Formats: sequence, structure tokens, C-alpha cells
Amino acid sequence: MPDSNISFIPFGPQHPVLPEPIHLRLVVENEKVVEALPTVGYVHRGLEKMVEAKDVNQMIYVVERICGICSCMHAMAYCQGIEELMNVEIPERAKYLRVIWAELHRMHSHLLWLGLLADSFGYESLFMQTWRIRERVMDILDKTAGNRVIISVNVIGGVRRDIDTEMQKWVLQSLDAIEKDLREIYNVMKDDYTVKQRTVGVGVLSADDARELGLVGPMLRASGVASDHRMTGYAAYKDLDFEPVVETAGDSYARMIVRMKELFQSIDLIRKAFARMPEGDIAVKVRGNPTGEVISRVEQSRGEVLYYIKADGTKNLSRLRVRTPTFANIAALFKILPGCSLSDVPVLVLTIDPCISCTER
Amino acid sequence: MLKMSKRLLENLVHGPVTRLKPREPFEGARGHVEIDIDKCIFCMRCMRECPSGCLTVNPSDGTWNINQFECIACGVCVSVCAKHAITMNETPRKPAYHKDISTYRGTPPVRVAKAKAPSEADHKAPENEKKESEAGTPSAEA
Ligand code: SF4
Ligand code: SF4
Repeated sequence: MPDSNISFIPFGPQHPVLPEPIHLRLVVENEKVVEALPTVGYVHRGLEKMVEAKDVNQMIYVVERICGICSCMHAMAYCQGIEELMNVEIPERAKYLRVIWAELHRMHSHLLWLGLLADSFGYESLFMQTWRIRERVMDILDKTAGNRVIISVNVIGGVRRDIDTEMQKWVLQSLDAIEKDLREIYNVMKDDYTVKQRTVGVGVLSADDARELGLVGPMLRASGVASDHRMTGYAAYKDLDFEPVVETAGDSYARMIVRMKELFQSIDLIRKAFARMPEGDIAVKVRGNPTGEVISRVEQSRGEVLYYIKADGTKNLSRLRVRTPTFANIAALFKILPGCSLSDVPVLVLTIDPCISCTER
Repeated sequence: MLKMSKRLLENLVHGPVTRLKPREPFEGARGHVEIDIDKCIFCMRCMRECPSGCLTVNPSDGTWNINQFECIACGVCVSVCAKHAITMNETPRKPAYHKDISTYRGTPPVRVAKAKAPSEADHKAPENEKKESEAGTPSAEA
């Protein structure tokens, strides 16, 4: 290069701000990033290939381990796919319970992300506060499902645990407390000088760009595209009238606001789900093996996950393919990183809410 | 910043929000798997359904083996066992230096044990719940 101000900076795979390994090759001119090239491939585990060793039912516990944070939604997408192949209609109550646990997962995922974001610009106190709230959500998961993260409640044909009236009351009380704390944090996040300084106008993505790059989830919604796969009404979402949270600015701040508002939306959805949940069975018996192929999609906390399932009537599937939301959202880095200052890179990488174990499976 | 002050002061006097998770489990938490070997009929159903492949049930010599360190505490074995021999304990398994396999000895029903010499069946019955260690032998499952 004739210009001597150009240098290459490797960012990751080990970096204090990254919870998981992703490598970015940054081309910088002085302090300004001119090009960014993300590389993944550090934590590939070959989980899709495991369909050859594990049967249809055992795979539920494998797909849950694709990603701890969205484990419930992974299992949900997988089970919904298999149920569709086998023409199984699960009980209404099971659909509501799935929604409740999925929304709890969305909450703890967004809270974790908010903490990491605050941490990425050095706001340690805020980081601790969001994780303090998250701890309550984890308690709800632990108490209702028996585990904090990988809750293993989904099975083909329904769910494995019920939430009785007494537990519902406790959950709702906890949600009230969580909402109160969240309001506090929301006001800080929304108006704080430090937060605004680091996020407003940084990494702007227009709606057209977001659509063109094929982004999903909060990334897409923060750029003004009202796309939320829950609107298609899988599980019990069709009965829980809600609107996707949309912001139009398309910058880091908008992405943060979208996720914060989705937290309140999730609380709302859980309340509605409890209020409308019918009595009845929580699972139906499913016999036989699936045949055929299906695409099953679910809105995870990071966006839409896509499961391609191909079965040939034996107890093992013949193919499983998962397209996870972060894989789609990494494309955004090509657009938002060039032009930003080097110090903004950690924040921008975090705004896509990278989940690398998901991406690589 | 001032908005946080109240919360920060509260935190000063408030106890920890985290629970002592392994020590204070919630009711119904999935800790570790336990077996009442006397109830087990060695049907091998749990072994077939276990997603992690950590169970080995051997009806011919009447052993029921579990590698607690490969068990993911999913609870599948608990729900499939028709004899309710397996239960889920709320506390996590104890830490250990080696990933030992716990072996439990029971009496398989006569139908299965018949093929074996009677002398062999005699000495294994009284040793219920005796644990044997086979240090560092993770199963071949990938
Ligand atoms: S524990 Fe239960 S499922 Fe497993 S072999 Fe014994 S009786 Fe069968
Ligand atoms: S709890 Fe799950 S992993 Fe553990 S032994 Fe039972 S079926 Fe296997």
C-alpha cells in the first residue's frame, strides 16, 4: 500500500469484550476503520452431523446445546418441525407454556446483552445492575423448569413440565418486581449521557441496507423494518395480540432501545399467556418416526432461526440444517464497521448480539 | 447518573441477589440421577433413550452403570423408566478427581439371568448399591 497510515489490526478471536471467539481483520487508517473482514470457525462442534448418532428424540437435547441462551427456542423450532412432519397437534396448554418459557429466555438473553453492551463501553455499574435483574429471570426458569439455562422442557408432542396456579402467582409477582427494576434501568439507558455518547448515530444501517443484507431480529427492526417471525402466529403467539417493536434510526442506540422495549413486551406476553392459558394436557403421545422434509422457523432473541429437517422414516433424521440468526447478522458488520473509529468496534460488534456457538453449531 | 443513586444505596444494604445455587436448590431442580437398583428390572429402556449415552445397563451380569460426569441431567431416564427406579435428586453431583463410572449391582429377573450359571447369580445379589470405580474411562461416545 502506498499510504503508510494503513495498518491491519486483528480483533479477536480472544478479546476482553467478546464472550465467544470471532475474528475480525480490521484495516485501519489512523484511528478509522476502512475495512472489516469477519472470520468464524473457532468453535465448530459438528452438532448437525450428530443426527447420524442420535435418534429423533435424543436430538432435542443436542439442538438445545447449539446455544445455551436460546436453548428453549432451538428445541421449540426443532420440535415444531418434527410435529409438522408427523401431523401432531399439540395441546393448547403446551403451546402457551412454550411461549412462556421462550419469552423468559428472550428476557434473559436481552438482559445479558444489555449488560455486555454497558460493559463494552465501560459502564460497569450498569452492567452489574442488568445482570442483577437477569438473576431473577434465571430464578424463574430454575424454579419452573428445574434448570437455569438449558431447561429441557420441550418434547415432541408438547412440554414436560406444567406451571401450576401457585407457581404462576409467584412468577407474576417476580415479573412485577423485574418490571419495576427494568423501568429504572430503562430510564438510565435511555437518557444517560455516557450511553448516548457511545451509541447515538454510531453504526447506522438504513432499512434498505438491512433488508439487502438479509438481517433478522432486533437488527432489522431497529432499522425500521417491522419483521418479527412471532407475527406468523406459531405456538400460542396468534392469540396474544402484539406488535413488533420497531425503531427507525438504525443506529446502536436504536438497537438498544428495541431490545429494551422487547423486554417489556416479553413481560406483557407472559402475563397475557398466563391469563389466557387453558387447562388441559401438556403433551400428547407421539409414536412412529417422521418422514418428509420441513422448514421450521422461530423468532429467537437474536432473530429468526431456521431449521431444515429431512427425515426418511427411520429413527435417525437424514439431514438437519440450522441457520441461526447471528449467522445472518454478521453480514451487518461489513456495513457498520467501515467508517467507524477503532474505539467503537467493540460496541458495534456487540450490537449485533453475536452468538458464535449458534453460528457455528 | 443520579437516577441510579437510589438503587446503588439500596444495593449497599440489600443482601446478595444470587442464591447459593448448588446448596439451595429449588424444589424439582434437576441435580443428579439416582437409582433404586432393587426396583430395576434391567429392561434397558433408560439406556436406549438416554441422549448422552452415559448409561450402560447390563442384564447379563446385573449391573447398572452411570457416568455421572457425562449425564446432562435431562431427566429422560426418569420419565421412561416404567418401574420408577430412577429418581432425580435436587442437588448436583459431588465434585471428584476422576470421572468415575458408578456401578450398581442388582438382580435381573430370572428370565434374563437363566442363561447364566447359577453360582454367578448368587454372589452378586447382596452387593446392592456398591460403587466401583473405573478411573478415567470416558465412554466412546463422541
Ligand atoms: S432403570 Fe428402569 S428403565 Fe432402566 S433398566 Fe432399570 S427398569 Fe429399565
Ligand atoms: S438424566 Fe438424561 S443424560 Fe442423565 S442418565 Fe438420565 S437420560 Fe441419561
